[in-house]
Amino acid sequence: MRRLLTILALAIVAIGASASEQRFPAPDFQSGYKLPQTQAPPSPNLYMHAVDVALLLTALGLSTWFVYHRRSRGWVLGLTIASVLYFGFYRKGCVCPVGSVQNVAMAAGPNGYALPWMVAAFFALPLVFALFAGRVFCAGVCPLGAIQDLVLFKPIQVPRWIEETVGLFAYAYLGLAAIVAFNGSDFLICRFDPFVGFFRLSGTAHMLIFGASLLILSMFIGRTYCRFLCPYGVLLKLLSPFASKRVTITPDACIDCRLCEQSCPFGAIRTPTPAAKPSDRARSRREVIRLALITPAILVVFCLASFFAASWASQTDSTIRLAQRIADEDKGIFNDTTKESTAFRATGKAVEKLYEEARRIRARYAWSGLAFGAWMGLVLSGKLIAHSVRKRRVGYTADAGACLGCARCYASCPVDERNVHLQVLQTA
Amino acid sequence: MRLNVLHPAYSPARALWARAARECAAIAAVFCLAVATVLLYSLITGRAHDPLITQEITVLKEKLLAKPTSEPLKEAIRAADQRLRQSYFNQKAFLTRGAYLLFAGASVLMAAMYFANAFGKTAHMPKGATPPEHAARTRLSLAISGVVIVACLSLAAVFRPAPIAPPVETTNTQAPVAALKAASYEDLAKSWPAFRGVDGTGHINATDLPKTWDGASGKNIRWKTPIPLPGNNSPIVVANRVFLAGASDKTREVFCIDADSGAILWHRPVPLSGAAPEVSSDAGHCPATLATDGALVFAIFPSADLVAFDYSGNKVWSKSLGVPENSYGHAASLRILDNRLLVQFDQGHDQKNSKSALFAFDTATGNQLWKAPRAVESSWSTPLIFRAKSGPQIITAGHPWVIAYDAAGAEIWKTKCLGGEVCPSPAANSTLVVVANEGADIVAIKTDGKGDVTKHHHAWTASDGLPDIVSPLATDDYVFTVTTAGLLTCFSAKDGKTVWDHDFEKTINASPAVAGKTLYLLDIKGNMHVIALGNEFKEEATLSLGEDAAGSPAFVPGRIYIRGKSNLYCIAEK
Repeated sequence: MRRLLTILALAIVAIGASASEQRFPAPDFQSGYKLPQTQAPPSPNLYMHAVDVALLLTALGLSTWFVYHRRSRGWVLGLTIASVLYFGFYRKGCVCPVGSVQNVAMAAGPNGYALPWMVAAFFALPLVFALFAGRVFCAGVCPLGAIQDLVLFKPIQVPRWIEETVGLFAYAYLGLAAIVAFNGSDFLICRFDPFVGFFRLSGTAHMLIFGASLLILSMFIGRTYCRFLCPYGVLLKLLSPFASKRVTITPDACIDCRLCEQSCPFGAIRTPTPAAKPSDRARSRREVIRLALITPAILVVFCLASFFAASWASQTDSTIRLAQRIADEDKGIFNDTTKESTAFRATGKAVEKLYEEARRIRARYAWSGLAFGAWMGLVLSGKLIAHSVRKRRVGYTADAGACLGCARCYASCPVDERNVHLQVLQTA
Repeated sequence: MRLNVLHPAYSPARALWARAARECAAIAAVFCLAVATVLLYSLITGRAHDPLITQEITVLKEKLLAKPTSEPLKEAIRAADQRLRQSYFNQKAFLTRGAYLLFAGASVLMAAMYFANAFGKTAHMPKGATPPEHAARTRLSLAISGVVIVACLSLAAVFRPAPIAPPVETTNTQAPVAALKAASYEDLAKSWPAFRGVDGTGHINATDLPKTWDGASGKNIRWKTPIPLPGNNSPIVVANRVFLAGASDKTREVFCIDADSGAILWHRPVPLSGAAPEVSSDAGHCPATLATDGALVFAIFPSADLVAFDYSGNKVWSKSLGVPENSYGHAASLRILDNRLLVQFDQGHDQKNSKSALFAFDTATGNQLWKAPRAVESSWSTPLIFRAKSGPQIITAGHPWVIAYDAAGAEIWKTKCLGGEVCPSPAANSTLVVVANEGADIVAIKTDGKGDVTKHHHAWTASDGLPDIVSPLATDDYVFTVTTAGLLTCFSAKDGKTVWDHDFEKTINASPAVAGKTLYLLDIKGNMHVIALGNEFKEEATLSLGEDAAGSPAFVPGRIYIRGKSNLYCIAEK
């Protein structure tokens, strides 16, 4: 009771302190305020770009070292904090590899966008590392993952089937963001970055609420954004299984003690599987063949639906929105005008050209929708097939795609000399 | 070998630290929650102080438009602007400081949580058998998700945004637009280029009009031409061309007729661009009268499909304004002011969020020159051009506002005096504008006002003989109103007192016109009542067409054109 009263008293003091800020208004314009001279924004600092890339490279190297050689959660945690401070709060969450996906997609599009070398480096470096050492970028370098990792409090285990199902969002988000950026319409990943508002200490109310909700969720469901939404994580997940270096829970042979089975807050530990019976293997084979045969049908259905549904994605394009607005204004649907429509009319440009451009963009979106449908169809088929193949696993292993390299599981292995149980036993 | 001293199971003394960390985390969480709540509240309520969002200054600026020289208003705008800016920047500073507080609180919270977690951790002791992977459940869940995704995509495909439909679809130009030359105002004023003449006053400039005719015997009927499609719009005449429109629920056409012979020179279909509106049987499928500038002829239909043909029948441009939200479709006739084609496009029943507007399109190209939003409900009234000394005024009657615009679409004056379904168009003499409608009053308005003149520019009002379809007519001496039931009322133009009235006891839909001292009024049975203007009712003649007629006649020197139910008549003294 006394504790509760103390907390309540502190809350009242906190609210009072926050509200009292308004009693001391910022200086106003009444006395001697002079308008500052308008200045051109400074040109990008190329030196800083090089520093950022060098730091990213260093951080990736350190992460690899901490995860595979030091096998130390403490060092990874230190790197996590450093990444949040530098790539997050100091660099304001930009540029980050997660958003760079869009730059790459846009550069591949027809809008003549040239990919800056620094952005290309930010995009490629974590992927190259993933190809050799798995998701060491997620381990302690990514500021978005890091901020969630730091709030992880009481992780609960999410059943695998839920994890896989909800994880489809990330694939869809990647596909959508890629086609929108490819068409030069918008950078959705940046627009809906849930944590950049915290790094910049400002943002729209709805995004701050969204970010805060994800952080609260991440206290219990480890790295919610990384596992279920992150579009860059999808790429890393796809490349990591090819890595020669993989996280191994035990430094030696697994003794199936099961002490590690709850140690991963991200559900990346896979249990050993018994040797399959011949009948099971045959059933699995039949299942895979059946799924492979219906894959073209799945692709056709997804492609067709996406081809027509892509009109919605095209609404992210400012030209289409402007053309729609102008048409609606001219039809009398709206009585007022927007800043955009007023500005367009002031240019004296022919409205027919605007409509033509809008129609061209929308047609391009239809074909992009086709690609999106094919992507989603392939993802679904691939996942179904992957879950139909019987895999033989000896001992507890970390899933190469799902493992974020946080190094939490190491300490639970009794074979590892850092294991807490072992240490106590030895001390005793 | 180092001992993991953080583990309470092996270092019981650390349990105290675990509790301290937990309590610290709880306090930090409450602190963060409090700061976040206050910040969120400030963020939401602060929008009212955003100078870019708040309506306070906009409202003041609108008032300033009505009183451009008002110093108190200007001062109020300055004060409001300063206050809002101060408030905005105060709030911004407040949010920034709050964000730092939140950041500090969150940092403490995270650290405390980390230590609470580390100190309070218990080792996992596996129980039972190794949990199975449930691959089948995962496959089923993925398959269901796939179906749901496809269903969502299909729904999105079915209800996808409509294609971007441009309201202007410039077509054709077999005859180059630049080669077309509009007639001068003087030339147009001698003919009948739009509903109720060039300006819409119903004043006839021709003097040698036929004095007698008889449709049954053919007396003074120069020609009579069957029109293949019905319509309630009135004929318009310029040079030796008569234009009108006909329509059924299936087809809509514009007709060009030789004024001398009555031969149909051409007729052109006007396709429906979108959905067809519901129309009443009284109004029909083409109630709006055409207009011409001497080079092109313009037509509009209830679906608000607007089209321009040259005099050879080539479509020069067309556009759709979108089906209006009103009970009978678009019915207001077109009016031309110099190179502006005016469309009074009133719709809906919401004055505050009204979609009504007055459009001005370039007669040559159809491009929108300007659009004046109007806070009025649906109306079917046609704009009138009042030639004031200061320049032309475009007079529009709507519910509830009668508004005068200048040639650039800016409001000159407005008065709140009408109600109901406004169908009668305004009338004007040399000084006054007269509006009337059933359910309101007859109001004579002085035209030298600015802004809202409701309280001080009504010359007089009257409430007898209120019309519901037929437009009033005003001369310098008299004002006339006609009810659909056939009651003609004459008022004094000076004070609005009733001079006389006469009940024809016949339905009348056509609007009256006046030539000198003679008033022409056509009833629905095709009888033209020729009335001498004066302080007493005096009908000089009743001339029969021999066919029902609803549209208003067109008057040009030496001829009157009347559209009967099935035929177009040219009446001229032989």
